[in-house]
Amino acid sequence: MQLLSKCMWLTLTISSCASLAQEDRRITPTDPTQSPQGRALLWVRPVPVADTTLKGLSAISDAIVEGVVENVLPSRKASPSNIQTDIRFTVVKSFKTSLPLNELMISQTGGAVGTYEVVPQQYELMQPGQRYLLFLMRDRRPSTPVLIGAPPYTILGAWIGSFGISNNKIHVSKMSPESTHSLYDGMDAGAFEAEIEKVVPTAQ
Amino acid sequence: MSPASRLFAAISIVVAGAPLMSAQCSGYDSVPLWIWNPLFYQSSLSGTQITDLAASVSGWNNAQTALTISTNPYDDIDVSVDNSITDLGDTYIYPMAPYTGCANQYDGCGVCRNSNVIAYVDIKVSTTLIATEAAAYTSWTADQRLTSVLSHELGHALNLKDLGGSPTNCLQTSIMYLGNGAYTCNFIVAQSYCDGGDVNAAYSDAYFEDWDLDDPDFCGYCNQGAC
Repeated sequence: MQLLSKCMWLTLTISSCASLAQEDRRITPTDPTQSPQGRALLWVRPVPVADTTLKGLSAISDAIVEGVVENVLPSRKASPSNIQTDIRFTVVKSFKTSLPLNELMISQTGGAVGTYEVVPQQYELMQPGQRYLLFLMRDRRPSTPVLIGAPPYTILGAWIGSFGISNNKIHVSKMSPESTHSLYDGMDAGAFEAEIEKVVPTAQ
Repeated sequence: MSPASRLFAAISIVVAGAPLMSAQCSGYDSVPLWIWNPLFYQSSLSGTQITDLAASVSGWNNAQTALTISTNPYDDIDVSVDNSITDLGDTYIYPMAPYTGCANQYDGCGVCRNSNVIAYVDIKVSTTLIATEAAAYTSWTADQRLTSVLSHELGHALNLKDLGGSPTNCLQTSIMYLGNGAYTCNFIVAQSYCDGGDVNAAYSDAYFEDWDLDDPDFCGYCNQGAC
């Protein structure tokens, strides 16, 4: 009887303790088939780019193009937590491509689907009307949609291959290496293009 | 500690600055921060990946003294594979607001569960890219590369920033290098001087809630009104 009473006390204690579990502290993993809710601050760790000079970037890029963001497509889920935002990019000038390109699709990680929002901390999502010179990698992921006439790409090193252009000046991404900033930030866009043409022998 | 002083301590963690330890250290964001210590992690990794994660966690426990990271019973930091990402690893930090049911509510210890407080973190790694990159660009094995990526992502989970450039002093360097700094200096886990120093600094004034099961003040319940 005494043993039974001790067992009952222990059972009550354990169940009471369980009820004290900290509210809003996650106990079990989120269902991997379901998207999280709310806002996530995203830090990405891109594949390192060993040589971040223009010559180094051009050597490993699948395409180098200059152009304008035509429009932003609705964000989509590549996996339950991985939100991608695709943009349609009008090519004004090609420096390196395997095919003639008038238009292409570029995917960036981040965006919002329903009540789930992913906010990149290291780079900005591209917006309509913005002008860029981009070093790109072909996007061969099965989850990437096919946009007829606009082959899919991603930016080399998430932001390293992205150079904004406004007022005819180059704007280096905030998280790019210091050496890239010191060399190219504020450079005349025409001079920057000339630098690229020097390192891409087959400039188109 | 009275609720009022606890609230003051909680506020102080969000206004703390990010003093630079040296030019080679990444520094940290002052918010959002954890209010729980120890932190717990769970993962769906398998095989040697589990050992790699344990090594990364152990590296952080050895490098700093502010927080302890352990396995179970909570899932504060969840680690899993996602080969749909275009990066070696991604870290998603979910603040208390606007996500949780406790968003913008005071809890029993006077802490406002707002966007300055971390609810949980998800770390996703692309084992496909990590294996390819390890073979192509380094002499590290895929396990060594995974350990270094997990160590870097755990740094973000603890609120550290990235570090650009290349190390000039391998005795005072960081796992938070974006490039191949860790490979250059041949380490795969968090380093005491920069990484440990930054975490210790980030949490030097932090208030950690007493969430012991016998805690009489029910810190964990956010039923004390809007904030």
